[in-house]
Amino acid sequence: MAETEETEQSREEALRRLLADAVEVQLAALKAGISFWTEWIEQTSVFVQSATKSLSTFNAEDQETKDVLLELVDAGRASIRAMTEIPRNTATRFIEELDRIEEQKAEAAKKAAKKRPRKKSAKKAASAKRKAKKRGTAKRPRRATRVKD
Amino acid sequence: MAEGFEEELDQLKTFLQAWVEGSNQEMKPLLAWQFLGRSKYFRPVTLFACHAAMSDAPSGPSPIRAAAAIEMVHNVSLIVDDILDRSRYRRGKLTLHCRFGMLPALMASGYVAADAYELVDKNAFAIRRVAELFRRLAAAEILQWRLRRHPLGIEDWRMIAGEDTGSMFEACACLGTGDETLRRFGHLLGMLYHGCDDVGDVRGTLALGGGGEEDLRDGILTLPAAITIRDPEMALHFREPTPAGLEQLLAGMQASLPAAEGYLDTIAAEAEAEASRAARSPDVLIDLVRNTRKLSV
Repeated sequence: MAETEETEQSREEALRRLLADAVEVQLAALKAGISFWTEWIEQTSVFVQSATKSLSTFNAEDQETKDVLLELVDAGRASIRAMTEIPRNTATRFIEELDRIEEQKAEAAKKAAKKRPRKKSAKKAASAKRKAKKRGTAKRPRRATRVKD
Repeated sequence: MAEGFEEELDQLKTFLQAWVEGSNQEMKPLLAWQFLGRSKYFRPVTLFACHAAMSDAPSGPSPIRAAAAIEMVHNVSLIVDDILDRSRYRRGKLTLHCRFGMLPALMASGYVAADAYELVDKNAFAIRRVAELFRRLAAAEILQWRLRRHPLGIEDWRMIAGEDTGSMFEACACLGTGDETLRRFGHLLGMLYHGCDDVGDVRGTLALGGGGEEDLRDGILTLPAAITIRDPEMALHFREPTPAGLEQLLAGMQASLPAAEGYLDTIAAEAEAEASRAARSPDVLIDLVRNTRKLSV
């Protein structure tokens, strides 16, 4: 009889601990959620303030529109970084964007090249390049030190 | 820079000496040339500082091995960088490829990379961090080269510096603590180091290495460049450099130094706040941030 009571008590204790743990987890999740949204609202507000300030200077004569745009772009990116804290995702999107611009530029260059009269045939150009390489006069791209020591 | 970690650095130097001694006969002279000369050991110091900030235990064999592995990864990146730049000198003496030839230097870099992994082979977390570091360094170099001459902004500089030098210091922080607690601190410290080096180049601080003019000619986005090219006229010079345009850009970059220093102060403050938030004993990390910050001024 005493043994049954003891078992029941320990079961109750286990249940109590389980419930306490669950509440703790729920509270932590809630706290994290609140903190996320608070930060999100703060960051959005900072960006909106910065954007409003920059946009309001568009009409002012003393500042170049392009300059203001650059500031706005920077503020936008800062906002994205601060909000998400996942710079690699931002970087990926940013690189994709650059890729798209580069593709457009390459397409435009291709079209422009088609319109221009060709100075030298590809065959001749390749042969000149080979000759220059043989003579050791071919231009090699230089590159400055990038890795920080 | 290395204040308070002299003992650990002595242990690291002894470890590297023994590693060179025990290496393949063909490799020994190359490794001795590359590893037993002058080094700032800033990365190992970061690793030891992060270890000290989270643990009271002295740096045993594990942090020393991890520091050696980091120093090896760093040297692989320097060897490859010197080959690509066709640099003749590094740390006041001939570069590895100039002293021993291109093929031996390239092969040595592969040998060092393999040994870096072997040093941490008992620790799955450390292996993953070393692998992550190699991947990020490789991708960052390509990204930085591909984005040259693009008139980008400070946020873009932050992203590049974070992936380039930031990834290295993240690895130091993670290997020092054995977990992810100080990863963000490492990231910020690396970015700070990168920015101080950028500013130091413009100031002509030779002690930090590198070259501001070369970066400018190649259209590399340094912190002072990112601030200077906010001016659309400067952005045009940056995109299509001419001798006269480069002179104007250099002058613009010198004028941008107070703003660059101000931005570095912001990063330093972020790093200090992160140290206070995440570390058990943040003082050692705060000292590290303050010493790093002094590099540009």
